[in-house]
Amino acid sequence: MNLLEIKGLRAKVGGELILRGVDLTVAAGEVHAIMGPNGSGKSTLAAVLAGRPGYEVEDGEILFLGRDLTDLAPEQRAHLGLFLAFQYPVEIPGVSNMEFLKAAIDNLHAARGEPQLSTVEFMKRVRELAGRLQLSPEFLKRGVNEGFSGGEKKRNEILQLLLLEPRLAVLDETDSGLDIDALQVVAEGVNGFRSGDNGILLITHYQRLLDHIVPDVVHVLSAGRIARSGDKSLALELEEKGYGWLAQ
Amino acid sequence: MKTVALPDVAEVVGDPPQERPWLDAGHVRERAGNHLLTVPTKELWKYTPIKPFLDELARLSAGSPAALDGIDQPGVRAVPLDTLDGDDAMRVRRAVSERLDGARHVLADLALLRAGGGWFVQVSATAGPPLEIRIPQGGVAPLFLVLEPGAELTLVERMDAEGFLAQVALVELGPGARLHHYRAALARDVGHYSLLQVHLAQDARYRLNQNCVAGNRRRAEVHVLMDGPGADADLAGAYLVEPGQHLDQQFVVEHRAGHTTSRQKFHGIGAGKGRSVFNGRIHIHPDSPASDAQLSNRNLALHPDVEMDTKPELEIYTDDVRCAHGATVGQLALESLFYLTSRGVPEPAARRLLSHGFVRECMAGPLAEASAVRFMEAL
Amino acid sequence: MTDRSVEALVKREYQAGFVTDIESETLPPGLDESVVRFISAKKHEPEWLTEWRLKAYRGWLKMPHPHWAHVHFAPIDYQTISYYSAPRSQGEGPRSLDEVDPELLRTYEKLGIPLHEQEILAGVVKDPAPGESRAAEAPLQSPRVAVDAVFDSVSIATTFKKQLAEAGVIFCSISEAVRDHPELVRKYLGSVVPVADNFYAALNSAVFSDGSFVYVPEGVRCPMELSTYFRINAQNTGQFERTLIIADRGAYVSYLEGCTAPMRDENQLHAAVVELVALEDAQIKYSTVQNWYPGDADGRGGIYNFVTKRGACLGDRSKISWTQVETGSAITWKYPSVILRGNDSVGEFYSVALTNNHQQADTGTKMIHLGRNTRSTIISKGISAGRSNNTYRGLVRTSPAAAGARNYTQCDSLLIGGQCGAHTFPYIENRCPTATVEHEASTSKVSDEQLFLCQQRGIDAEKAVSMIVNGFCKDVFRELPMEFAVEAGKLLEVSLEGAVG
Repeated sequence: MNLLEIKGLRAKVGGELILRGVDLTVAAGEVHAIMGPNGSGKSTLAAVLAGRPGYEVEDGEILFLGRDLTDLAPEQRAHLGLFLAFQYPVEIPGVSNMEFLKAAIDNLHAARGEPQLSTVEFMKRVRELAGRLQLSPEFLKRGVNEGFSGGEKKRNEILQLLLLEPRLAVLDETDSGLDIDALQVVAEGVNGFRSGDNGILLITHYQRLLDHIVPDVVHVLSAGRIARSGDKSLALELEEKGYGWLAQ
Repeated sequence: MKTVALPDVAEVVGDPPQERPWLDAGHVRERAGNHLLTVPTKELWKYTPIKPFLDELARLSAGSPAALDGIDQPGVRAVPLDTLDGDDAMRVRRAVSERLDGARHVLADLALLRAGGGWFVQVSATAGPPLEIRIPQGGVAPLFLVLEPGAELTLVERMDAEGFLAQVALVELGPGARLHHYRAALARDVGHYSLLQVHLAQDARYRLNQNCVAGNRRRAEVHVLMDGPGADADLAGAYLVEPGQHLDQQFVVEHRAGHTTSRQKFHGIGAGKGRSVFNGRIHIHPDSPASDAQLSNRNLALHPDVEMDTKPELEIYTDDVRCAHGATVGQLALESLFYLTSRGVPEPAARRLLSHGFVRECMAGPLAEASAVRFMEAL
Repeated sequence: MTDRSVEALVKREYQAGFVTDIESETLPPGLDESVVRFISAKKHEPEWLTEWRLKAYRGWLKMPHPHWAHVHFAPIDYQTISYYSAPRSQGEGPRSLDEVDPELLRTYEKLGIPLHEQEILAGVVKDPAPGESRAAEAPLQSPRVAVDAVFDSVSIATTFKKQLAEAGVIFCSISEAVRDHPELVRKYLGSVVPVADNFYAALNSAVFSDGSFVYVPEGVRCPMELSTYFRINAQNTGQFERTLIIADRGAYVSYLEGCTAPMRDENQLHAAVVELVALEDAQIKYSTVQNWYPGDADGRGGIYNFVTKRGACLGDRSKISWTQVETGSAITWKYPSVILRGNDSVGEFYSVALTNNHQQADTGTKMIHLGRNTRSTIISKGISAGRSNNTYRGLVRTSPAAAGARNYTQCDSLLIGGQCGAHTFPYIENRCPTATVEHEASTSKVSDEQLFLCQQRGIDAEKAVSMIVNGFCKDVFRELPMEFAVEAGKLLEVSLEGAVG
């Protein structure tokens, strides 16, 4: 079953055409990596999928579980099961992580007509996840990402991923700014999410993340199009030769 | 400039002044009379008309004394002003005559002349339970609080009476003394004037959390003077403007000695057609080396007809300082909104959550919960 | 920094302080209606303008003397000032260059402002020896700059008029404009700064004697930089000039003004009014390098610079940008402002104000947002040294109609020495819920560590201070036309000369 089908996607940011016809299909159980040089449109693709304001779809389709996402608000996409791990997680001083996570999960359940999680169950789950991701329970009382280190912010993103259990996770440069220990914690979290029902779209500049989260398919995005697709060996080839040879 | 005829000092406070051991009424009356002629047309009353306050003051009757809880404990001595005499009275008398800036706080002078009730409180140790004061309705009940060297106190002040109230609190913190001060003014449709003036001696520490809802007219003046080296003040609070309401807050922090530190952080929400005025002044005097002062004031305009004015001021007379202030007026950050909606929180709820977080960030202490609940009612 | 080095820092020499010995026609001191009528008659003005002046004068008589909280000076006796002084050789107004008194040309040359059309404006800083030509130093590829030279009460010459006329640009003294382009003057004079705007604007409206006029027609990009150089020479004389610049639809003009005066023991008044009008898609860039005589080290003498400068972005997408470098005057009081009426219009204010000795500066801007999506940027750098006081005072106001308006303000102060003052008074009045206004301010000093690092790397302390100050100001210098940016940097260096012993 296909989770995500992108057909001929063209998208603009600030009037400039960045995505120039992207085609991509992710089936349940698959992990796809999107690689590419800076400015190739990787983060734009992630932003367009999640419906970030300011990103304009000019043409093409984004089908998620068979439903066109193009006109849906970001929260509606989230309720359908699309999750974006931010490259730069936002700090929201004054709003505690606890409030934030509770609001997210309550609204998810409400949108799906499912029963709400009791506070006790919620706390139990969040504490358990915090432990797995080596986040101190104290973090729940602090403002969202407020004063977090780069690694803590990324682990908080993965905690949200595991808590909200989406169908497709889009990880935007989740490896950037992480040391090797933090990278392993994050990768373990993501691998724990991986299942036959879910899909993952890994956006990364470097191949090192792919040693920890092994992809089924690797795509190279270049100048707003997918220039090549292949298996894991393509990532190694890119590591060796760089991106320059693609242009030839 | 439009000129409105103001009542003269006799109309406001009566004639002749009532002498009391703790108040040099003749002197204060003369000072108020002089300043009433010039001050209200200037800068200090640029955005808030003074006349309605004068009219209200003139109508005040002698109120009942302020209710004070937590005075029956060792190290705390509380004396009603009406019975104050001797050295205590002299101390208060001098503080009012010599330390109160009569131009900046002209209403405070007038209020003191109309005072009935009120307390002198002296704290000479580390107090256990907090001192709680509830300001009475329709009166002026001044508070003179002295913390002796090394003393520590938590003061909780509720300013929720109906009608009009005027309030003057003069606080002196001795060397090394610590005061944790929590105030909330959460009633709407009130008229309210208050002056809170705090002096800090060497190494004294002052913490203030003040949360205000705008009233029919509410003017809150806070004046912190760091007289001794090493003094440290931290002021924070949140405020809210509801339909038809007006709030004018004036903060002054003066660094009058070296190695003094101040922090100010205030967030406000405009939730209805009304007006908020915020004035935050940092004044570094000459010969106050290594002073460190910061102020941040942020305003969130959530209603199409709210006016939010802010003026952070710096006045600096020495080069060895670290000073910064920032002020903003704007809306919720789109990036934050997107982060929440991308996690599945619907936009209206996301806005509520963010607005709540915005003010909650500045609330602390025993009145924080009640303040937060009150603010959420308006959102 | 040690006290001694601070002491040394405040020592500086004002290099434009000489007096030109020239015969002048000067009105005796005093002000009444006959003086207003005299000035108007001298300029052969039409009756409407005489009446306009008289109305301003009568209004002024009723206005209270302004009182400013952070500026201190003895009351000015307006009857001791002469309101008109002109070199006798000038006769009836500006002439062609070859008719101008050579003594006047030499004055400007000495100031580095040669009024020869083949040379560029060298600047307001250096005081070359008499007769030394600046032309040799000028890079050949430098753009040409047209100059209107105002000496005391009159414009003595305007260069490149012919070349500008070919492009359709009108650049002349305001007196000539009244005569040759009365419709434009009548339409726009007082339209941005009303006669009763403030005490000094009213006084200026009554007695202004000359100034510059610019009109850039629709779609024209003015082919060269325009500039006016103001010189006060005569004793006991006030200078009241009036500048009016109009950029029609889609037009562009960049304009610079410079100012100097002789060293005299008494204070002299300079009360100018500048009005800018930008129609649809027009842009005006107005730069000032103000180096009026600041008074001596004890605070004697110097110019009182009380100026009203305001621009109106009338048209959609229009833009007005003020850049100022203020190093002179005993007292500076001015707030170059922009009224953002057109939708999507842009206002900018970039300012460096340096005060030393006993100077007082109270300067800043007002950005009045009326149109939708209007934007403004304010960058202010204040440097205080000696016993001076330097104040930023600004207003950002958004009206309910200014949907989507944005302002960003940054005010930084640098203190040099422990006896000066640096103050910041920003007023933010927001009536528009979709507007975003941000203000930030910080204060720093030239630290011993910074100086030590520079010195350890072989840079002498004086140069280091100048470098630090220049670095502090670079966001503003970047906005100046290139040749003036260099001049402005040098001007600060001169002002800080002898900084560290």
